[in-house]
Amino acid sequence: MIVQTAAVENSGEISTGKLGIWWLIGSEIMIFGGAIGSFILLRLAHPDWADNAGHLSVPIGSLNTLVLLTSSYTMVKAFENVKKRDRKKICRFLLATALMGLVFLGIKSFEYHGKFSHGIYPNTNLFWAFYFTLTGLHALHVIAGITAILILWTFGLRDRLWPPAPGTGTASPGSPGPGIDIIDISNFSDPSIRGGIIRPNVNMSIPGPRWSGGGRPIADRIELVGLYWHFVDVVWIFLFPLLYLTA
Amino acid sequence: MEGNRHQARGNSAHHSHGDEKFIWKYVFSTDHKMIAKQYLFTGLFMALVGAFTAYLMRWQLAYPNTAAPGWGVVTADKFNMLVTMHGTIMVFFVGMPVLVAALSNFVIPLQIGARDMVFPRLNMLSYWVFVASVVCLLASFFVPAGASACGWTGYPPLSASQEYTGIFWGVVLWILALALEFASFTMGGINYLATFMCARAKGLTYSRVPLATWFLVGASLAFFFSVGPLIAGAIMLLLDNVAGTGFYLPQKGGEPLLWQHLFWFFGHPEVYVVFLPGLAAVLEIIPVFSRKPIFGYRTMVWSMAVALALSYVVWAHHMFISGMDPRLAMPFSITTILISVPFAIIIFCMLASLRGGSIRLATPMLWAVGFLVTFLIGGLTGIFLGSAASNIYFHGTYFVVAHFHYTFFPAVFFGGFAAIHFWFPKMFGRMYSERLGKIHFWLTFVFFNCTFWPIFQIGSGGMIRRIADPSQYRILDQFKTLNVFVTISAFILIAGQIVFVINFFWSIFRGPAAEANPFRANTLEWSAASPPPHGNFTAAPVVYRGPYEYSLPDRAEDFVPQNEPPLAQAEGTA
Amino acid sequence: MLKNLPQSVSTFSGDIDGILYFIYAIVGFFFVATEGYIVYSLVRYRRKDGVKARYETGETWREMRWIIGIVIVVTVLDFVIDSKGAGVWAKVKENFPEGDVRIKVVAQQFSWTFVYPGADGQFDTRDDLTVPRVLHVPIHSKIRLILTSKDVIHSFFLPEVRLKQDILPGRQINAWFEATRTGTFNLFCSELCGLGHTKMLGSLEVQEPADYERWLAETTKEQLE
Ligand code: HEM
Ligand SMILES: [Cu+2]
Ligand SMILES: [Cu+2]
Repeated sequence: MIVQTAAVENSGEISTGKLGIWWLIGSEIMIFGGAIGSFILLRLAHPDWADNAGHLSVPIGSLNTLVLLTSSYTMVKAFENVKKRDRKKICRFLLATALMGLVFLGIKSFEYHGKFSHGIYPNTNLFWAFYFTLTGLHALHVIAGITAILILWTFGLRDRLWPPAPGTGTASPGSPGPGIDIIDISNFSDPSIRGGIIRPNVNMSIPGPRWSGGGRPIADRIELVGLYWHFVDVVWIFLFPLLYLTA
Repeated sequence: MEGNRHQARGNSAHHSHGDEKFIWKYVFSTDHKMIAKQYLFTGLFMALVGAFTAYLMRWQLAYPNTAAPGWGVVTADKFNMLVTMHGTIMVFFVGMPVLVAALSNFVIPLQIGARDMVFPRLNMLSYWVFVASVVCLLASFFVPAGASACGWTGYPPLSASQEYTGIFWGVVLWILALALEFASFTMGGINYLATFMCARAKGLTYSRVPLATWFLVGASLAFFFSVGPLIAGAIMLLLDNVAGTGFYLPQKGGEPLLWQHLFWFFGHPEVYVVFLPGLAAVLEIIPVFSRKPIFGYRTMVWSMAVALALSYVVWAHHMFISGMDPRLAMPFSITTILISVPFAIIIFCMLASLRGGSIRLATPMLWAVGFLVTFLIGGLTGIFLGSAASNIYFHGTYFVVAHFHYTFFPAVFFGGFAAIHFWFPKMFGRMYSERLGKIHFWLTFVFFNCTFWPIFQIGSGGMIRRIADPSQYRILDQFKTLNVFVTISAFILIAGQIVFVINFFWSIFRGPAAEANPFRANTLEWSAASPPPHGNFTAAPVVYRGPYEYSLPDRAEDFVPQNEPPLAQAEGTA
Repeated sequence: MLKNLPQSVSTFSGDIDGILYFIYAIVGFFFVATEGYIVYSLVRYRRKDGVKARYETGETWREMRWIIGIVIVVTVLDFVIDSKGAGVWAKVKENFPEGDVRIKVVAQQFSWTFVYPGADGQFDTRDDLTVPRVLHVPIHSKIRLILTSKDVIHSFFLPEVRLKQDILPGRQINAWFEATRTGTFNLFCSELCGLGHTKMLGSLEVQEPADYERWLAETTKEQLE
């Protein structure tokens, strides 16, 4: 008996993982859009907030922008090395990205600390409420990004980015039961079935070498996390001028 | 069909270790069908809670300040809490799980011929986050000062500071519950959309996708692009409560109207999030039971797309008299009225689908027709509210209450029951009882109308929403008997659901075994076994035609399943 | 459905009722027509042995012509409703006439207070007159209301006048009306504002100008003492 699901002709163009990340980013855009939009509307109604914005240090903010931009660059480098299958470099660039994310958070908390020591808190006034909410929300996303990157990094360290024997797929040893064949459609040669989509489910608990990558190499996830990381970066590119440069 | 059940296990290929453990099969399942059932049962349980709150409110409105059996006197503070919780539960904890989550989970993969969702573990996670949300909401009844009492719309400043209501934990938990719910349905939405885009069977092009799937996907899209700003707004509301910020507090420079904009920017599409799945079920049922192609397949899909697009630019019709610039009223009045055009098209296409059919009023069809009949009243009365001028009088009265119950109730319960009965054989592998189904329908249909039709009259007589004690209002004295009538009808309406409960559970365990395709329908889910095994299909389905080829003139059979090979080819291969 | 409307006692309440009845007529027609059609089809096209359903997909313009026709009618009616409504809306909410009488409304949890400007015609001066609960106005004069709230959102609703306006804290919102009948009418708060919302009632007292002046003089005297 054959257990398989065919995908439609046109659906192999984009992997499910990438699609999922794009939808995730779409929903995040709506969240930040709502928050930033609210800020802009109220900001326009309150020219006096410029005084508050004056308390923010543009040099520190710019430094942080630079750090984050650079981290996006290293993330791109990590992805480039995925194609070259250079595990060492991938690890190095992933680590660099995560470290820069941490530096960003460090500088951010230094700024927060400065505000607190001057008696400025989220409830001081509405500008600061927005400042702490927007940057805090962003910082949470940075933390999430760093976590994801570090997880991939550990995969890299343990050499788990690619399946043990490249190309053979995963369904080889230990056939699950009598009379049942599983066709991993990622290796299905019928050209009309491209991109095979349901793999994670198919492979999840197939016995064999411990391997949790679903049908695709873990390395592919570097691109997904990279997309997310760029998104986090872009949000900051919006926040920085809106908060710091409107004094 | 015990055999089928066992076969199901055999087919779930990736469970190499023989019998699945109970906990993985029924609790932390990644099977979309099991998750659908989990959502369904959770939603139906919450419906009980929601109905109980409705019972208490209706008691108080008919017999003010007397002890409601099983609870006691519904005092003003309790009434406000009940109104709030009733609205929140019915919309977010009944409508959303039963219609959006249960239906999307069950129907989308089966109708597109997929083995499962593309992210099964995310699917499981989304359910458990939803459970956390339910726990949060239910817990809020038991914290000091009780649950939130700010209305399901939670307008600040009332909801933004403890000083106005004396309620802190209730509001915080209410916001958290919504936040978790939104997170859960965002995960769900990603799954439905990605599955829809990536996992369709071979040959199932976008113009052959059944309307149910289209409309379910539409609902997820509507949710997806409207909820973000409200999440941001909810974070701000939470901070106002816990961190002393003043986003919505004018004395701190904040803007109360900001919340209303964010809420209704979400709120109007949300109406469609609940409505489209109901419609989805009905659209699937009508052709099957009138043995006729659905009229204007393409037109319907496009109408839905237009309605979705428009739904993002109508939100301020909830705010005509909120104190926003009155010059905004006309543009929003126009968009609102425009949105009635695509829905008019959909409704008229459905009517045209009946024409010339061969209609059998089995239980699912009864619910579908009941949906049409009642929802129409909701839609038509909406015009009174969408026109800014008449909104001045009707806004905030029981006319509105009647109107949105005539939209929500048909969507959630008529649509929901239509879906439950229609897919019951597929879901549980057994048939429901026609007789009980019909009794249940007529009880619900009659007493739903007896409950809510008089409310239009009470509303136009000037009764306002969310009042805890109508006996304070001289103008309402004339409606005393009518209010009692409404309340008694509501009790019978609620009690009538017992018939459903009996039918439902009896049939799950004792109903006659169902065939794979008991209604002789075309779409792919009916080509799988009833119930489908883990993995759904024994062989990858291939689709050759559209979903509504009923009563083709040159055929003896009056249906042609989507996956039946064309005649010529079948002969060729034979 | 509309027979229970409260009596109509202002210059624009008739206009609003007019819109209500106009919509009612249109909606009523569609209600009867569509529900009637549903019932008709269920009977006419019920399953009969040996009768096959018609195969009709509705994918051609020809098959669609009925629907297109009806939808055009619906759209036109929609616009008629809106353009009729636009005038009324503008009259009630946009074009405020200069008020003959200016009254400040103060809403708070859970009561209404009305402030009359006194002899100098200015608010926030010593001769302001503060009246709880009952809004006194003279008949046939244009009343300008300045709506304010001390705490949360309330809504000022005079059912007989067909006037409703939410009141936002931190803002002054204008409203107006002109009463055409004397008597005592209802004033409700129609936005959930907390525990005592249901008891946040007031009333509107429309008086002949002479009576109104007399009341004003008396209350002024009382408050000065
Ligand atoms: C069992 C049948 C039902 C009855 C008897 C019922 C009754 C009521 C009553 C008495 C109110 C309070 C009206 C007021 O005081 O303003 C209310 C409000 C409401 N109901 Fe229902 N209801 C029912 C079903 C539903 C359903 C199925 C939904 C939606 C899915 C729903 C959604 C709402 C909402 C959103 C509110 C407004 C809450 C608020 O004002 O904050 N109800 N209902
Ligand atoms: Cu709306
Ligand atoms: Cu109130």
